Amino acid sequence: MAEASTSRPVTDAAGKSFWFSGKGLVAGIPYLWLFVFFLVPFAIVFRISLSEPLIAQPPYSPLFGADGSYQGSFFNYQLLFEDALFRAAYLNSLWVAGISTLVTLLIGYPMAYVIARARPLVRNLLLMAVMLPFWSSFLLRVYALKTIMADTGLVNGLLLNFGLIDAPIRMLQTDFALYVGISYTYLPFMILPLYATLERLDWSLVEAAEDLGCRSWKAFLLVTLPLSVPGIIAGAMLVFIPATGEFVIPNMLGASDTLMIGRMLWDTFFSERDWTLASSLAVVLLLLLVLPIMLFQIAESRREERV
Amino acid sequence: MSRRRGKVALLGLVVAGFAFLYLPLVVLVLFSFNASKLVSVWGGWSTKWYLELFRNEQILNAAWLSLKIATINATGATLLGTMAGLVLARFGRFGGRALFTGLIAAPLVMPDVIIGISLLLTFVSMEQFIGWPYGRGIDTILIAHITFSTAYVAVVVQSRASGLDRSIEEAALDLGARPITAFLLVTLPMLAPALASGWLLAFTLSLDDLVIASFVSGPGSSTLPMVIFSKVRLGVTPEINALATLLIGIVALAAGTATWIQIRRSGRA
Amino acid sequence: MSDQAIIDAYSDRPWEAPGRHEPVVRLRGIVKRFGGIEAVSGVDLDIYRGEIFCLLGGSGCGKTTLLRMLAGLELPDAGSIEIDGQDVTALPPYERPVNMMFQSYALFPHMSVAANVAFGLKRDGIRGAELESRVAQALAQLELIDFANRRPHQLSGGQRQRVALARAIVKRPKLLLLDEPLGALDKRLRENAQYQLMKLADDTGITMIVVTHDQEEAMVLSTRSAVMDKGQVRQIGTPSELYERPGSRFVAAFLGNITLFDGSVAAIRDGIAELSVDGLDAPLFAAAGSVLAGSRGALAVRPEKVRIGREGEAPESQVNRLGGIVEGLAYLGDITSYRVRTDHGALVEVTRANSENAAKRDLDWDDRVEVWFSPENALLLGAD
Repeated sequence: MAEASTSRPVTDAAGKSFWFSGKGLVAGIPYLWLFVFFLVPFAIVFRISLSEPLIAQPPYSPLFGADGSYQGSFFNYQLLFEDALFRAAYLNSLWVAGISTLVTLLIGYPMAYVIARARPLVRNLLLMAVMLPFWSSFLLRVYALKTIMADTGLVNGLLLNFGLIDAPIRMLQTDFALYVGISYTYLPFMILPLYATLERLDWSLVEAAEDLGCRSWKAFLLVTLPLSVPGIIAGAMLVFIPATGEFVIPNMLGASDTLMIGRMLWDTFFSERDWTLASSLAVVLLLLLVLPIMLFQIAESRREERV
Repeated sequence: MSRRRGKVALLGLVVAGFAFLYLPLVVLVLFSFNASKLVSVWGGWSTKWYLELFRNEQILNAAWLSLKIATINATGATLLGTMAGLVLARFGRFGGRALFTGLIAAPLVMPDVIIGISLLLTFVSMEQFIGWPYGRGIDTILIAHITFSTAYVAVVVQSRASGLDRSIEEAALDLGARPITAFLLVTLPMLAPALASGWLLAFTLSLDDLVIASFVSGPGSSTLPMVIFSKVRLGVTPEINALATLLIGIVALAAGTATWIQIRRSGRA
Repeated sequence: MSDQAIIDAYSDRPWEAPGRHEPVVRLRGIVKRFGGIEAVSGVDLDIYRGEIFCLLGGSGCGKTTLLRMLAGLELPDAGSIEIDGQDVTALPPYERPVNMMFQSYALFPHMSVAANVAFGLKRDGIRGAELESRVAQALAQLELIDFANRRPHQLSGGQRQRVALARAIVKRPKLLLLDEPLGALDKRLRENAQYQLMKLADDTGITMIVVTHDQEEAMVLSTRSAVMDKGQVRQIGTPSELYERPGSRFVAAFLGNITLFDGSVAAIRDGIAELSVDGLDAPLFAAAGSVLAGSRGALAVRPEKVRIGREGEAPESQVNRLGGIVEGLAYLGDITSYRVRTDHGALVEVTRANSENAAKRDLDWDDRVEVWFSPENALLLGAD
């Protein structure tokens, strides 16, 4: 095609020559890094999930025996599917992440909307206010929530002091605490992509809808909301996907028997020291999340195109 | 009428949202000055937890280690992430672009436990086959942190770079600047705000990470989040409140300065 | 240098004697494709020293791509570019004796006005007193001395435009490329800027190539223009040549308003063609171009060449006369423009100077009128 001729465009490279140019070097370094330390590790996790645990160093059986025979098996996966506990943990993780995402969206959307419609100076201040908690430690903020919601914590202490309740209300170690914890820590991740989408919205479209006879809530439903879908998807996935595999929040706020897969994986790995079962747990979690991750990427690339 | 009520309701929601974001921070700050060890009891003002914090060598050592890791990580990730962001924003189509985009987007959402376990197993396998990295410690934590921080920096740089007017760089070439000069004198200064926020973001992410560091760290390389985690699991530890307050103070100061500079700049324009 | 050479060098119309003048810019067979689509397909151009040459056309006609190839920001897929006798086809932008003023101005936002202007000189290793004096000279030339230390975002649109211009001329390029240089200015500023640009061309003697979509701008600025369409040059000429003697329907319609009557050429006598217009009984007459008898053609006449009056006002001697009804009129201050629907259904545009109207009773909407024009004032174009 066109590349076969003397073409050497200054602004866009195409074709095979790319990887052998200076640009190829610039692209190649981060590419190689992410390839080796992000993509290859998934293959290694999968390979180890096919082994059986051993008391050895490293603590898993080799994939090939001394005679070169293949020794891998789906033993761990069989275990996962037969044990109702694991199935329940996966389902519960998706459920908790889903509810928390919904709550985050309901809190985050009005905030993003108001920020996007504010005067530029106010807008910057509010954005800063959204980001500020994020810059201070995540772990410490979860810990703060724990002190607020504990049986002997702030809320119960106040309520008891004022005689509004006789016995502490159990908040910590319930699913409620998980919803609060996840929506709290992930709120900025919902607000920022929503804001980015709403900020670029052409508000004269909303005015046009109102001019054509829509009440303002209807104009919102028919114009603003549909146009902010890419932001909603990006924000929802930024919350939902990591929340599904969350470890810290269920560990600190949830009950000791809370069925969250991130926590199970942690315990399997660190307490039971079964690297192979933990690997298979990670592989299945990743498979469950492939669809949402693809959705996220599509939403991201669409937002990119609109810029 | 209904419009105004709608506006009031909306503002109410937003105020509640911000209260939700800030209540835990206020609690941390307040109780760092509480003489009582119990959160539900106010024992009067005191700064004793701060003194205890500064006597706690375990916390101080971990904080120093975490700051070191965060700084190196932020610098490395800014380097790699800037390259990656520019590739996405500027290099158009090339063979393998789709996978590259995926490698940048996926770390943003990938659950920490998956990144942690897969990197640890990778390090173990690498040690087994090529003898490096020998054992686990600061270098393995750094590799892990740079890996996910790079993706964040790349996104920040990409969005800034694709918002820049291409013809400004073309003007530099047209005026006789070679590509490398044009990049250093024109592109880089225009990207500077993105590089700064990318660096800070990477710094924070590293300072904040518990899960991945727990997987890939070795004996003697406990980061600050790992120490905090082990402490708060054991029970109420008010010196952690003091630590949190210091952290919030630093962040608020930095944010305030940044905002002030921004306002002053926009005022001059 | 012989006397003849000196006369030639200062000749106003070097393109009329191409053998005796070397063009500054010589394009041959330039082709550029983007993803299989030809943006520029086979352009040849000769541009001479001191010209302000406009590339005129609608969006997507290839004019900006052609300009960027001259700057070195795109490389042609085929063809050659020579500047002042040097083949620069494969040279990168930073090695060409060419500077460009960008449509967005592309000022460096983090540098002062003076630093913007000094940027190009510094790349050539110019430092110290020479640098300062040349920057000061360029700033003075564009009345920017007072703004030397400001940043671009502290300037008005007109000032920014002048900074972009100062930055582009300070290196004294052999060729200055301007991409819609006045497009972002409002009408009043634009007129001033046009004259400023012409004065600059005169003072510095820099050859300029201007990309514009605005035919009026091309008319005002250019020594010659190339009208472009679909990646090809349709016609090259001085403003009056293009306006008075368009070579095709496309060029005729692109520059100014024109009324066209399609038909077939019945006969040609003494340089005047007789055209049987579709749907009209009586023939119309026009100066025959290169159209042959028996072929299809179109009669083209500019609105200001058409006269208008009440029925019966046309002189008996006029052979081109059409009855019709005023379907629209617009008072434009200096002139009034009429749209007349003729009895055979065609739409004719007529303009009349208002100094003339004062003497006659004004025509109004729906009035029955007659329009006429002399054959010498009409042009016969090919069927394309």
